[in-house]
Amino acid sequence: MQTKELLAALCGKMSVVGFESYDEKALSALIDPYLDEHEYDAAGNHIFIRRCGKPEAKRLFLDAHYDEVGLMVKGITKEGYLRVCGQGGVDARILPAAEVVVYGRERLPGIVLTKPRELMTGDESGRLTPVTELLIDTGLTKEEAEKAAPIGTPVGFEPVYTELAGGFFAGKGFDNKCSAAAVILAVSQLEMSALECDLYVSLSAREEVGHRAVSTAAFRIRPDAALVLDVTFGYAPEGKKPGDSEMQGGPAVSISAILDKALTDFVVETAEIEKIPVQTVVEATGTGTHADELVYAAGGIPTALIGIPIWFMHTANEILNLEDVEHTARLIAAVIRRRYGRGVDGKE
Amino acid sequence: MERENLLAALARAVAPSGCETEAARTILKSIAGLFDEAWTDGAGNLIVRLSSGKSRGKERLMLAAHMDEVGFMIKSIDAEGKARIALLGNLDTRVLSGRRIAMTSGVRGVVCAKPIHAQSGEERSKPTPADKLYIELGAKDRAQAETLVQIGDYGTLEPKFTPLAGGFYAGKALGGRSMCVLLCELLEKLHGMDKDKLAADELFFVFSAKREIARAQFAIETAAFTIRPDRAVLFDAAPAADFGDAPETARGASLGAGAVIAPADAGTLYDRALFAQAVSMAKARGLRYQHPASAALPGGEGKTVHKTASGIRTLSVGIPTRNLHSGAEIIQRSDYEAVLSLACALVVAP
Amino acid sequence: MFAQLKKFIYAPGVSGDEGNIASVIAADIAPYVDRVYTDAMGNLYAFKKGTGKHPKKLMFAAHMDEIGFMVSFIDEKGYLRVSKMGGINFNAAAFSEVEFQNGLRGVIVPDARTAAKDFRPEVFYVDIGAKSKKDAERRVKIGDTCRVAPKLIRLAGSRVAGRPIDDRIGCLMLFEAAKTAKVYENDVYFVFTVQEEVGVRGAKTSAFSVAPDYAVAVDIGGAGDVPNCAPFEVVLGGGIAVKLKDGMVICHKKMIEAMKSVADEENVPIQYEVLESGGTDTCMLQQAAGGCVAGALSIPTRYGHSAVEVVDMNDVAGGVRILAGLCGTRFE
Repeated sequence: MQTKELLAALCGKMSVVGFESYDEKALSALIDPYLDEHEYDAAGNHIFIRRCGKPEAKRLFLDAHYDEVGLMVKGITKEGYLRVCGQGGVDARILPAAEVVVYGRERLPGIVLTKPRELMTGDESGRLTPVTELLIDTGLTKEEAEKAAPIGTPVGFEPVYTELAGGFFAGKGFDNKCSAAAVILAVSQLEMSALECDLYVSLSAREEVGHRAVSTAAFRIRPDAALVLDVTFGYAPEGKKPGDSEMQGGPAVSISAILDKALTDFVVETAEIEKIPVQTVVEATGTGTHADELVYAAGGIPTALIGIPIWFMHTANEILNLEDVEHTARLIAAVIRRRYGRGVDGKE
Repeated sequence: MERENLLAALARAVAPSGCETEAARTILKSIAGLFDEAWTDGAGNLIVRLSSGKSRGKERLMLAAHMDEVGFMIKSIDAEGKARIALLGNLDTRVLSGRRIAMTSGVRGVVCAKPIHAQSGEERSKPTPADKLYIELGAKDRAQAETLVQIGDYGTLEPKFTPLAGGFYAGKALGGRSMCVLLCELLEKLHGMDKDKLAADELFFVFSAKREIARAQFAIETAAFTIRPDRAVLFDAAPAADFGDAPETARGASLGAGAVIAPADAGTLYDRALFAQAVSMAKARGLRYQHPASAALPGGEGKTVHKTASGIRTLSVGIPTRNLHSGAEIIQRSDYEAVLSLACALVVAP
Repeated sequence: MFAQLKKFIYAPGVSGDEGNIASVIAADIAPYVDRVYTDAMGNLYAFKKGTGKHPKKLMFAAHMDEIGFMVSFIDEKGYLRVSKMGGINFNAAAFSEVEFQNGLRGVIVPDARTAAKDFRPEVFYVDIGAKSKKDAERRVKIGDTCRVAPKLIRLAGSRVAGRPIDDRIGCLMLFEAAKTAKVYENDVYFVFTVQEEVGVRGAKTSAFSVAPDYAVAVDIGGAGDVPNCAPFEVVLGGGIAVKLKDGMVICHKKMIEAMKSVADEENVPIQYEVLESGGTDTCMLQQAAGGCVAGALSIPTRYGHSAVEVVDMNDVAGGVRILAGLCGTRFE
């Protein structure tokens, strides 16, 4: 499985917050060949399972949230334009004139309308239209739109992926499906009979609207430990902040008081042993990811957090480096082998 | 070439002001064999001459559409390998953030801005100015970036063409380029026709350059000066904001309401007789046409054309275009048909 | 001259729609010249062949267009929205009677509850008394022009007030010069230009066509003799003003001297005008085609672009004599 192809296929799925099951069949078709079981739970999490076949095996919970930011139809104007609201924190600066996909009865291309400067008056040109005032043009009349894209229809960014130089890759949904891709790459290559652990891969729902779903999965599964994978902010020229990770610096392991120190150290050590490039980022009191929920879920789960650095988060053209995804996959696999392997040094 | 294919090909051509080569090549290819002579003048305008073969006097009619588009030029490359840009034309900075771009060389990139977690509340509610944007090419430093782009290279927003429902098309530069398609289609129509029927002895089709960067003067002036037509008809996009709650007088042209025929715009008072003729032709043929309030009228090039040399009788006809200069312009097929029918009527003697 | 001016003033000719005034001038000037013709933009030319041994091409230009409005939109209730043609002073135009080319009358008024400080073109509309859009469309169409109703009255002495004195007064001067000039040393083109008010457009093309050696634009100027105005040397009744410069042109010394010597010969008082900003057809005359020796006469005028523009007819008469004199001047 090629990283790039998996990323485009997985991140290209429609999974706007609250609509994580929209492409369930296609998701199954893509992932089921590599993992043994797949369940879609009541909270919207897709749980894929690989079992080692031993009774009373340990359970490792691998979380990568599968939802992405997007829009939802909230009304239709008399001209047939769709009025929308944000689903998760879409970066409003990228929306004027954006091409979107309206996931109604059928997939419809739509264009976010923007007033030409020639027709602006007063201070309009200095103002960004808030998401709540945007209109989407699909070419449909009001009557047609009411049928094809009724209120509640999700709207996502178009799945277009662009290869840049140096292994950089741009497109939508890397937050956080690139983590899902890394987990799948890792888990699919493991020889399960050599492990003493069942792996629960949770492509979790509703992270972008407040981490709403993951703890229910943890409650059912009662894992012994959890690895949370999420994207981190790559260091970018216009918005450098201390604590940002380096692009091409490898997976970014979070150091935080809220996380399990032993597991975190284990992850970093593993990377060093396996000579996998790794970086650490400090998020002293909280990580803003599912890790914060899992440490306190189901009686408490030792949790570590691994991040993939990306640029330009929450836009239709997030950017990552393929190396970082591949190194993250290697690190996940190495951590699992070292921690749950039967061999002398954790190898099959 | 079939109309929709040509429209798609031209929408995908990366040909901003000052670097119209790809558009010109596509246009020339599509009209091969349909004219008597074609040349590119000193200002970059592509001029195509079609003669009636008769010398009934020397009446010359010029039809023009601009083939350039808004875009940008690489202004500098910094140590981190990020390319900074200077805008070409009225490219709306509000639409740049987060968009994919293409250089004329085919190199791709993404326009990046301060990431969301680093923005202040105020920054989130304002468009990012062009000097705070950069192009991410994937280069790790200046040296690598310079293997991808050079200072002075030309680019545009991502080449794109998407048919929408209801006979609408969305895509890059569709307003202006659809009018180039129209001139090509007109040439094709005239090809099989008895040349005696032409409304002038010689027709000149001008695919003009550098329209979008024009300030006081438009490049098309040189074509008009050389041709010295008796009449000129300019085809261009007419901005439309036919949505939202703006008052009717501030909405510009409306899609679906037909050809925009303008008595005047900010820089030009069009020839009254030509204007009246166009309106009566549209009426007589049952064509849809509209006169939006003056702020929204097309045809900036008229400003210099009508004042060229001893003066040229000039008319402007527009196709209503939403999202003008945004990389995702929207036009409607029925409006195109209306403009085309009107153009035919103006070119063929009654 | 008053009756002739009145005739020119009452013929409509909003920028871009000068056909009416052009035909009035053409008919009146024809007896005094060799040929009258128009061009693609509508500029009117009256040509008089010179009899000198080495006649130069001398061009006089006065614009015959006037500021006004063009109908841009008709709303459901039958009110007309209009585009301004030229530099309308909306404080002066508010609540005025307007007339259309076809004689239709209306009134131009601001939207209700609009304070004077918020006067902009978009807040004005024309009420022609129509009951509905349909009713209005029977009477006017998009693109029709209208203007604040014309007027000319006598004030004390030799002064008159009204509109559009800008620049029918210049047209009058060209006409009177054609009528009174006795010696035509030069080939003289009396050109009545179009679209000056919207950006000196007709002057550009007419000067290109004529390609004159010498050119004079005749237009209204300002007057620095009214209460609380900015300091400005030109006064009403002080004689015709010879332009030295404005915001768009620096007049040629040779033309300034030629005017001065005619004035001295004819014993006509002149004053010199130095204008910081703004401009007239002069700049286009100077730059067109291969360029020419250009200058301008400015008629001292109070309250320009209002319905009560005021000039002194003595200044005008002096200007006419200078123009006539230039027709007979042998330029070296």
